[in-house]
Amino acid sequence: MQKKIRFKFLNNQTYAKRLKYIVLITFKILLTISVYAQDILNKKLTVNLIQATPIEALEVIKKNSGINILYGENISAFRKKTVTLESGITIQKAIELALKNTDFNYEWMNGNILIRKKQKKSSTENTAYPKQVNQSTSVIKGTITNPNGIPLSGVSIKDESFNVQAYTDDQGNFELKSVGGKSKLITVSAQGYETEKITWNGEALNISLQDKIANINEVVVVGYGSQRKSDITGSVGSLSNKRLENAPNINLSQAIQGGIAGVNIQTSTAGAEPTDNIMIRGRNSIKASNAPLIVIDGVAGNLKDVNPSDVKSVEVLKDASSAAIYGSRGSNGVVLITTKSGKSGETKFKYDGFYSVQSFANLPEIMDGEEFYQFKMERDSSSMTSSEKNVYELNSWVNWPELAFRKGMSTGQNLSLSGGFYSTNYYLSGNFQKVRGLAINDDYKRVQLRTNIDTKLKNWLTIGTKTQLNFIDATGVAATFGEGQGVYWFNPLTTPYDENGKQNIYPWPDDPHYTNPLQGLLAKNIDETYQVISNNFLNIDFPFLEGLNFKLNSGIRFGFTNDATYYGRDTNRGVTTAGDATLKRQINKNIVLENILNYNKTFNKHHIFLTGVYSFENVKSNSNGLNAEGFPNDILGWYGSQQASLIVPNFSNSETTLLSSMIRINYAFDNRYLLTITGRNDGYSGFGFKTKRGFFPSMAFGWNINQESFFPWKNIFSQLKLRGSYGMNGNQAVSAYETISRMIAENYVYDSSTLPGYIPSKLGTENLGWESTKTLNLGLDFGIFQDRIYGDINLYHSNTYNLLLDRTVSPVHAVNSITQNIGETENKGIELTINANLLKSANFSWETSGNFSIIKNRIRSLYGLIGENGKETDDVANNWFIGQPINVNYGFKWIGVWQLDEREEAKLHNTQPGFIKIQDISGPEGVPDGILSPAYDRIIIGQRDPKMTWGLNNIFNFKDFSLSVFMYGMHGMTKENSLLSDAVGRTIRLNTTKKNWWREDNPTNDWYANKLDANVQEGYTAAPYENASFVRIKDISITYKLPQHTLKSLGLNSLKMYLTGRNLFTITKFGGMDPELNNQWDVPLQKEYAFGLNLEF
Amino acid sequence: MGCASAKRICIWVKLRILIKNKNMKKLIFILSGISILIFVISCKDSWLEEYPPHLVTTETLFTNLEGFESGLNGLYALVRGEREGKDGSSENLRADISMLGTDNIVPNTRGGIGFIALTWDTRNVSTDSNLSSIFLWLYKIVNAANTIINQAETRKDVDWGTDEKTIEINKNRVIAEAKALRAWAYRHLTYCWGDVPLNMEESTGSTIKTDWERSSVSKVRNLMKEDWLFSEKYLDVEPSKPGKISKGAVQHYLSELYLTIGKPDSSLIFANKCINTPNYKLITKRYGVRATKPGVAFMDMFYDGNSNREQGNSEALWVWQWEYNVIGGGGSIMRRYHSSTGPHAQIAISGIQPLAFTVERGGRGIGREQPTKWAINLYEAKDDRGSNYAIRKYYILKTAGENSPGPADKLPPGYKYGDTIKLKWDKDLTGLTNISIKDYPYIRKYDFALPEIIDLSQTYNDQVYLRLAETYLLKAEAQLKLADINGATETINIVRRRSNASEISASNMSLDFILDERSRELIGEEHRRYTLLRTNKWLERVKKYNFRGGQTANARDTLYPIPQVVIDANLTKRMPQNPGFN
Repeated sequence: MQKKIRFKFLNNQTYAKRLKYIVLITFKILLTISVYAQDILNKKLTVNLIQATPIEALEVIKKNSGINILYGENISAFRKKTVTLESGITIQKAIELALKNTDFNYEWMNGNILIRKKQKKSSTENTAYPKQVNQSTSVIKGTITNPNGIPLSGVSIKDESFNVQAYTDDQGNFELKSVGGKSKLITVSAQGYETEKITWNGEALNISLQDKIANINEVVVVGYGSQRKSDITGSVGSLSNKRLENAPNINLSQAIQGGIAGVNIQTSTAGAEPTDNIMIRGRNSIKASNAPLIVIDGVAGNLKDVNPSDVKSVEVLKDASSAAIYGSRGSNGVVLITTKSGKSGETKFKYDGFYSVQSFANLPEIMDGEEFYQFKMERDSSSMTSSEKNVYELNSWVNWPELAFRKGMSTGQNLSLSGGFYSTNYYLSGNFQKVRGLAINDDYKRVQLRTNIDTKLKNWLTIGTKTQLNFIDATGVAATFGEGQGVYWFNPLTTPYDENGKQNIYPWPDDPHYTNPLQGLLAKNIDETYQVISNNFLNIDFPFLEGLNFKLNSGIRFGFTNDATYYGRDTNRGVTTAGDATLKRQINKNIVLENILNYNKTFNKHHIFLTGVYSFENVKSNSNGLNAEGFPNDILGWYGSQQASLIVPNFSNSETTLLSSMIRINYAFDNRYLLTITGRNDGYSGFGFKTKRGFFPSMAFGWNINQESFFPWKNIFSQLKLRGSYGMNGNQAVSAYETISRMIAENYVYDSSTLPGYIPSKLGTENLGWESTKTLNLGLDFGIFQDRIYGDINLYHSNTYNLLLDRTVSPVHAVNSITQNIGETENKGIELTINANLLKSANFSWETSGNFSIIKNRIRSLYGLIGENGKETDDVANNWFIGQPINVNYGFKWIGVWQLDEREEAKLHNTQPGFIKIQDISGPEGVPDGILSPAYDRIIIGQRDPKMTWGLNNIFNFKDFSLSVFMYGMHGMTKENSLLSDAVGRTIRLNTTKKNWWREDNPTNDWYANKLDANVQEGYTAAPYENASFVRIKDISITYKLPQHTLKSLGLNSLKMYLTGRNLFTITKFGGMDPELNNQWDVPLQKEYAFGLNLEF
Repeated sequence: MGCASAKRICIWVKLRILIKNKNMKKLIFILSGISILIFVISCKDSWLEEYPPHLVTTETLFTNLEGFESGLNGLYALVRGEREGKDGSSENLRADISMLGTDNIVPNTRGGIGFIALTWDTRNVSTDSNLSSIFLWLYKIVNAANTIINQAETRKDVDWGTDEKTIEINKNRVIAEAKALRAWAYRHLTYCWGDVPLNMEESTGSTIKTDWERSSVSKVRNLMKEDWLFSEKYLDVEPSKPGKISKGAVQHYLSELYLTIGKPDSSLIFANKCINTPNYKLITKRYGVRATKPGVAFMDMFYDGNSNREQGNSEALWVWQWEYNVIGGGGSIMRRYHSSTGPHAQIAISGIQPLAFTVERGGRGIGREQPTKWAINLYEAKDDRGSNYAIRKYYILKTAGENSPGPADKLPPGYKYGDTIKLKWDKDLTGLTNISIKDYPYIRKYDFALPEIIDLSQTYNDQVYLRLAETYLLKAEAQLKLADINGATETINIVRRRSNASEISASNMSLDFILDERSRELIGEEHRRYTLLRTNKWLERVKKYNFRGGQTANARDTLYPIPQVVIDANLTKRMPQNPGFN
């Protein structure tokens, strides 16, 4: 087994040298341990030694005899050179001599010599140490297994009273030789299992260890360390393992979606590689990113980087106190992801696989050829071209979306092996994902390999690595979606293919402006990304001061992207440019170095946990690309770029550095009173000369009420904690060089030579600095009936000021906007998380976990400019209004259609029945003035971010079956239903969705008449806004677990099969394609049915 | 990064020692403590400084003459944008703001400025994105010019040349070009919006204003005058490079400006200065690339290969440059908007669409705007400017050989090669509907086609932007204002003679006649809207001759509304809108 792993490492050239090194050292130690030395004791010493210290003498003996000497305690404190040995004495004698002047003796244990302190004898008995250790030896034997009865190797069995220990072998057997009588306290421990304490009474110990259960007393990762949950003062949310394991997740954000209170994940685009916007506790920033900091194994990264199967835990730091440790980047919260490690025991193989089929959840309902023809004839028959007529008469009109879509599928195959032996733990995994998106050519393939190894070189020194290699292939150009020339909009009275099945370059011969929306399918393309993400650490537990620990964390994320596209002469783009190539190669490098010092100590009732961090982070990104046009032929594609007539190379470059130092003090008294103080200083290169540094302090307290002696309901509340925190975080999320004014190239020409030119393009702000958020958080954690129901409630209030803002400036400055630190926003909210085991009987159980949050957000101040009315001036140009949410819809309000009986009134508004009716809200006198004007008649029409979000997961277990239903919802947001957009063009060149158009015989208010300019009143138009609240049943999974007895006969640990349906139902009033998606004219959200298998042996 | 990697090496060395010698433990701990300390101390603020190797700043650019030349190049590239689409696209021609919706050019379809010019009453609104985009574009020119002027005037570290005389010449010429173009931008701004904010400073991040005021037109024009007077002094008769502005062009603009502000005497002085410069001469004979082919002298200067002064175009005062598939080559859409070959190719006779795109026909245009019937009918039969070479009124069906490299025209039943297909303008472009007329004549001044790709949407020929004939017409106007009727008549006749138009007598002379003559000579070239506004004739003539949109115009539409974003962004001072706009 061990050999096999080693073999694998050595043959894999891609692993860092360092990894080999770790493994080799580990093996060296292991081999040494396993040498048997019984006979050696009687061997003769063959060297002479004069005046050595005890430890030097022992080392010489060790070398000379080949015996293994282990030091139970630190013997190097004896520095007197008192030992003299002569060759010819027995090894046993030599050891005794070496220990003569110390208070140590030795024991013969497990084939090793263990040097340990003499036990204090209670009485007056003289301290004669036993010469014949064997005489008083007690031998404890037994077998250790996991809950499924599988033997565990490398488990530590320790005699607590004499401080000796042994480990289990491959069969889970152990033999512990110790001193003393037949009633001993034995501790059995292995990583990943609950530690067992047992009194040995002379019989063989056959123990089955229990898996460590995550519950209210779990250890929670809190950034640069971990804490017991009961000791935490801040607001930390954890994702339940069930969300992680139960459904096939292509990326981690799918698992987190709706799973943690206050964490809002919106799927903004669908497709093979969906994108998600993550927001914790709402929107603080206007320009700067609202995305939280994602920390993967201590290093900042991206949710997409991680294979969800590799994830052990996801924690979200929400309030200022807990996030303050990440200082500058913590203002939007922090997501901490920890990947799995191996645990002691024999190698566990685990296979997860799923296969799913996808179809649309919803598609826009556009007009078919027949309907479009009628629509166009009705609006303007003169604009009907002869080729359209022709297509119509031949009945050969086309459904463009059908040509761009297919049945989708996705599959994921994941294999991992993990385990540990003695002081080394490993977790290796390989993952393959393939998605065939709903749009043709929307493909995504990903291969991920992960190696997590840690090894304890010494009992004070651990080194390890968590390394991942990714390969992502998103090659393929899909058809065109979106406004204008996309497949939904495309005129159906056209011809996509010629008689030979070749794409028509001009599917509408009479209007060559319209190019075939399928042309992307003919493009040559490559789009590959390679990534190395490696986090290597070294951990020192200082032996001379218990509880003091130093960790050096070095992380690197290296990414390379290779992207190239070529449009040949079989496409419109290629025809007009004589071949068109676009190439881009990008290198991203992100290096982190962290020095972390932790001190964790309990004195009587005082517990302190100190953390100090000094960290350095450098992010570099560099790209070069090429646009080439005018190829002599299409043979080579982009490889023939050197023959192109126009070759335009381009470059980009960016580098930022973040330097931080941090200190955190956690103090607990008697498990009842908890205090956390954090301070962090950050320096960011992207800010102005004098404003690079920021200091972010925070403070928090906690009170475990149920620990108080006076607390009356101890038998009801297993946990009751009141928490409060106040602190400040920053946001530096502006890119590099924002402070620098610059010019961009704007070239002129003379004959056929370029005249290089530059014009001013960006106004830098020299004193750009930190955007800061102050947050007050009050929380209550509770657990009742032995944690049968547990959860937490949080109330918070945050103010963000010195906002990094792209404010619109007057075009007179020659720019549209400039970045400044101005204004203040406010967020208030309440969050609730509840987990409950509602029912529990032998065959049936029902668990539910839910979360719920309400967010209220508003702009408190912008530029501090006071207007004529004495109030602060809004920024209408940017749609920012004092006292209103940050993201609002602003415009004219559409209130219906001018009806026949309103003809006279309509006339006053320069319009007519059947045309859009826009509300005349006010005028210069404060009352409606009968004239539409931007100054008085535009209003706020709802906010775009949800006011309330929730998620609810129910799991029903019946015998070996379980059913899990996960749903979530977002409420209170208003979105423009851009699907209705009637922008068919003046000569009706584009298709649109079917509507209930106004006619004299159909005087509806739903939609205006099918007439040119019917959407315009007095030169203005209004967009259709709709309530975009929704409830979605995200996942329904049925799982079957093979029962234990069957598993045993198959030699398996576990076998699980499941069937999952995803995005099956959405309840919403929103009329667009999907209330969550940003673009209603893009690839639709997929409905998915997956079958999966989990196997463990 | 040196610091980081040193740290890593240190750790690994440390590790090796540790494993070799346990007794060094304590030493190692001390070492690691020290190394942390070193790391903390050495990695300080200097790490946080930014050194962007890939950015151009005013600081790094304007250090020598070459840097200033590239600043000017950028400025010219922006200016050239007048004949390009909004934001570099091939739609929304910016020049429309000064040409469309007049007595001689009307929209043939809706879109862009054409929307406004078709329905002044409902579409000329402050939220129109074309207006805000053009406003910003013009202030970009102002700011780019301000930056050059400020840097040239105030910087002491510039390498302008070797000796004092060269330094003086170079520096003044750079400032002169920048000032000429700044005034050029304000010319657009004042004609379009009237009173506008006057920005004469280089914009910086620390000087953002929220209380701009609109300066009176007269104040702005006064500064334009100062700019141009300076330029006139320091620019050469021949531009420093083809594509750049000449002394003559500046004199021309001064002449126009003095007419605008009611000083015809000064106008006459500068018109004469320009006209009397020996280098500037009207084209009166055939020349250049098509000299041996059938045609008229008037049209030669519009052909690719003929437009530049060194190609023989002695009439040109300012020629704008384009080039296909060259960086900085840009792309004009004047042909796309003015030429109607696209609709013409759709003319069907008995189901056959005979006309092919050819190089001779000037490639493919989409006829977004067209001359009015009035403008086409202004010409006498013998006037070259109204001939089929200048305004496409008919096609001759041609064989593949004659159309080469385009395909042969298709023959409708009963037709043979050599037959004529006539266009029609007996029905004027009228009404506000969407109907576009396909077989309508168009102006051929922007014909251009690459033989390899005939139907590109943009064109890449160098184009005459300002020519001496217009200076003559300005002169005539000044003479008329000064009551020198005979002088005005003779000035006009100089222009007419070149095109074989009959000579006129003093009794014909009037402001309206000059405006008619300007249309005959300059249709599709001059900023017709500005000419009519200058002479206070826009509303009258638009109502009289423009039946496609003209009827919707009102007095308020002599100005465009200030873009809403300009008003909205002026947070601390209410910026008044032009009268008549909400």
